[in-house]
Parts: sequence; structure tokens; C-alpha cells
Amino acid sequence: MPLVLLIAWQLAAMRLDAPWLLPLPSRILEQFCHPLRSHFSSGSLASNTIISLLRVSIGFTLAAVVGVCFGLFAGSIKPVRNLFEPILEILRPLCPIAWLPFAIAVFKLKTLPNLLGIEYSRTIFDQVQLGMIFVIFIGGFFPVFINTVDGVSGVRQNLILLGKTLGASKVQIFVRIHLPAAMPQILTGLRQGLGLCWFVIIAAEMMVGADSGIGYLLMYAADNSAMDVVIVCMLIIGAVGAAMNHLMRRCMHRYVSWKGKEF
Amino acid sequence: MERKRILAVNTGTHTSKPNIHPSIIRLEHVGKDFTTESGKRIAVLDDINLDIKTGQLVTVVGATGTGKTTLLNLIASICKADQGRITLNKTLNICNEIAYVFQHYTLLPWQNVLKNVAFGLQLRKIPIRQRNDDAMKLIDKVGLAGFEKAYPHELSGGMRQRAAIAQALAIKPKLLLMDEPFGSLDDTTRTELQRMLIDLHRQTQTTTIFVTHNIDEAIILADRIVVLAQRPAVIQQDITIDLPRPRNRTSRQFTDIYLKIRNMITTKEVIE
Ligand SMILES: Nc1ncnc2c1ncn2[C@@H]1O[C@H](COP(=O)(O)OP(=O)(O)OP(=O)(O)O)[C@@H](O)[C@H]1O
Ligand SMILES: [Mg+2]
Repeated sequence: MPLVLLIAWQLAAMRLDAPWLLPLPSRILEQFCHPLRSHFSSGSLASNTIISLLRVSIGFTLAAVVGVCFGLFAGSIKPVRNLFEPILEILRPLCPIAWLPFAIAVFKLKTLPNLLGIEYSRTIFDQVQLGMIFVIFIGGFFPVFINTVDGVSGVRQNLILLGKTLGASKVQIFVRIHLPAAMPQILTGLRQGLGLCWFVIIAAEMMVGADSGIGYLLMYAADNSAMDVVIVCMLIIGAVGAAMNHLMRRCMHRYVSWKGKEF
Repeated sequence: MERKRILAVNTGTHTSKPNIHPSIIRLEHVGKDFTTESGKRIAVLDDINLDIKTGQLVTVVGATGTGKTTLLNLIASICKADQGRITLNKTLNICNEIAYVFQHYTLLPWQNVLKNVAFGLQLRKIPIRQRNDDAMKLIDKVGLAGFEKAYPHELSGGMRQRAAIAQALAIKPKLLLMDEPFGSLDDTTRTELQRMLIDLHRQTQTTTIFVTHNIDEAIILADRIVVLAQRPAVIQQDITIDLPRPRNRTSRQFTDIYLKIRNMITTKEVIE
């Protein structure tokens, strides 16, 4: 099937003979073979991918840590949950990208090293803008937080009673029952969160004001009618997203394989 | 009113021995109501008087929905009584000496049998070596040797039940509550587990309250049977059983008791 598609593509591209619309598959392959070649003096495929990945890993880590901690806190204490629920319900449907102008206004174009008082570190970290981190954080936070809350507050009552009758203290019930019982859902939240972070960063990099990242390269290539680079970028974005999802799934399978098999 | 008189009479088939055992838990005029979602109030337990002696194996029989689980929940202080008083023996520590095998057996689905059985000991911060040793002994006793690394979802219903019993026994409870633990098992497994329970009780002398709706099972196991009547449940009969063990299901005395209890439960239902 993929082969048929590839042949169809090749034929169509040859007939059309318009590389700014539909480049030859061989061109795409050729681009893949030169990941380090710089395009339009905007960096190479590899460097831009790495920049995007770096931004996502920082933003997502932040979202994961804050989302899980805050989720555990809100999930186990009902009044806290009730207090924050209305606020979060308003903020949640807001597309993370909509936060970008706000984030840029607040953080200007400050980067991570600036935060540490370094003007210009001459490392890749100079490409990590706080505004971008912020929108990734927003994107990743909600799925992580909401799933953690649901997981912790939805633990089966009889497991809690089991802990109680076996003599568990409140803290022990939380650590030994709530936490492991919620683990599958926490991991689901992390998986969704990571996926969304990747979406968000690509979109954010395509916005005005960005000057690096795979999303930026894609946009820039499109402005220059380099459809081959555009398609290569698309393929990379898709592949990275799929790889992240696969990794998280493997992780879940490994650590919470009991889920869904309880009686 | 008539009911109340009945429960005071101990209708043992033989005269009971003078009781030298102290009571471990005493229920006086205990009642429990529930308010349903639709706002209707139903009395589930009414004026329950029970005095459980240390070392006894007491079975509670009653039709489904009479309030047997509710009774155990009250004793385990999972819920509060609306009327009356429940007194525990002073030596009994409510938060860690009462073990409860639930009707819908509960094991931690994310841990294997060994860790499940050792769970109560882990909560007590007993060193891992010792708690694993203790747990292994119990796993052996309940006939699960070789399955200590299996997860609950990899076990059959009977095996899960054995694991749940081992888990409860691991904390060396002074009072063991069991809610229809063999309810969903086939006859052979049920008989086998009953035998196991009798053995364990003989060895450990743990006071046990065992709920069942199987009259046969109640007589096989019990030193004493409490028969609950229906809605609101009162204690209809309190029978001391001192048939010799192992008990013969086909003996005359056995069948007499069996019929007596069955009539009690069924007539009650017909009246309802
Ligand atoms: N939380 C509750 N809220 C409202 N009603 C309840 C609640 N728990 C129990 N009941 C009612 O109390 C009655 C007794 O319930 P219980 O679970 O104690 O019965 P049971 O004797 O254990 O029955 P079974 O043999 O089927 O387990 C039931 O009729 C049920 O409707
Ligand atoms: Mg019940």
C-alpha cells in the first residue's frame, strides 16, 4: 500500500512538474539524507528539530511536575478541588496558542539564560524563549492535571476500606492506595499532555516572531516555495509525535499492565 | 415485641458450657437506618444484641438484603450505628486488630500475591525480610504456594479468595470478619476452603464472624449461629452448635438444625 502511494506520488509529481507544489519523492529522500544542511540560513533540519524538542522537553517537564503535584493535591482534598474547578473550567477550553500573544507581552523575547542573568550564553538554550515554554506548559498542564485529579478522586471505595481495615494511616492510604490506583490515569494524562505539547510548539513556532524550530523552518520553507523542505518537516513532525506516543504507551504497558484486568 | 423475647433465649441443642471466655465485642440495641437516594428512610437493622466471646467462630445467616454486610460494617466501624452501642473489649485495637474479608474480595490489583498478603505488615513497617517470611507461611497455609508472584488478575476466583484470607490473617487480627467469602465458588472449592478455615481457626483461635446465606456452610463452620430475620433485621435465633467436628452433613442432628434454620428464613420470606 505505501509503495502504491509512493508510485502514484512519483507519477503525479512527474506529470505536474511543479516542485513548488508537489516535489518528487526522490527530492524528499535527498533532503532526509542531508539533515545537517542549512536551509535559507535558518539552520538545518536536525538543529531545528532539536531546538523544538528541547523546548518541548523543558515545557512538558514543567507541566508534568506542576500538573501531577497540583492534581494530587486537588484530587485528594475535596474543598481544594471545588475551589479551583470553576477557574480551570474557564481556562481549559482556551486554545494554548491563544496564550501566545499574552505570553510574548509578558516575557518579551526573554530566553532561559536571561532568566539566570546571562545575556547571551552562545548555546542552544538561547533559542528557548520563555513565552514558548509558557504556552507549552499551558498545553501540557491541563490534560495532566485533569487526569491526575480524576485518577486520585476516583479510586474504588473498597480499596480504600481495605487499607483502612488493614490499619493504614491517612498518609499511607494516600501513598499506598490512591497513588498506585491513580497511576494508569496519571500516565494517560502525561501521554495526552506530551502529545498536546508537541502540537502546541509546532503551532507556536509557525507564528510571527519565532526564529527557529521545526515549525518555523516549515513556515519559512513554505514562504520560499520550497515544498520539499515543507514535506520533510511535516514528516519529521509526524514521526516525532508518533514516537513520543509510542514511548509513553510502552511506559504505560510496562508499569501499569494491571489496568483493565482488575476484577 | 415478640421478636425481642425470642432473641433473649439461647436455644442451643445442648446446654452450653459455662462461659469462661470474655466477650470481645458486644452490641446492645444496635440499629441502623439508610436513607435511599430517593429520600426514603429504611430501617435495616433493629435492636441487635450480640455478645461475641473470644475465640468463637460465629456465623451469621440471613436472606440476601437483610443487612448482614451492614452488620459487619458496623462492627468494623466502617459506618456508624444510629441506635444502640457497640463495645469492644479493651484489649482490642479497632484500627489494626480487626481484619475484614470483603464480600467482593479486594486485593490490590497492582501487586502480586506475596505483596498483597504482606500489605498489612508493610503498613506496620515490619522489615521486608520478616514480613515476606510471614506472608510466605500464610500463602503456604492457604494453599497458594507457587503463586506468590502471580497478580490478582492471573488467579481464579477461589485462589483470589485464598489470597484475601491470607491477607487478612497476616495482621494477626484478634477479630476476623468475613462476608460471604465463599459465595461465588463451586461446591468442591467451597468445601475445601471451609475445611481450611476450620483448620486455621483451630490453630489460631481467632475470633471470627462469618457471614453467609448458605445454611449448610453456617452449620459446618460455626460454634454458634446467629439467624437474621428480614427487614428490619432482628436476631431471630441464636443457636449454639456443639456438634463434634468434623461435622457430618448427613447426620440427624445436622439436618435437624438445617431444617430449623431453613424454616425460619423461608417462613419469614413468605410473610413478607
Ligand atoms: N449505603 C446504602 N444506602 C442505602 N441503602 C443501603 C446501603 N447499604 C445497604 N443498604 C440497604 O440495606 C439493606 C441491607 O444491605 P446489606 O448489604 O447489609 O445486605 P446483605 O444482607 O449483606 O445482603 P447480601 O446477602 O445480598 O450481601 C439492603 O436492602 C440495601 O438496600
Ligand atoms: Mg452482603
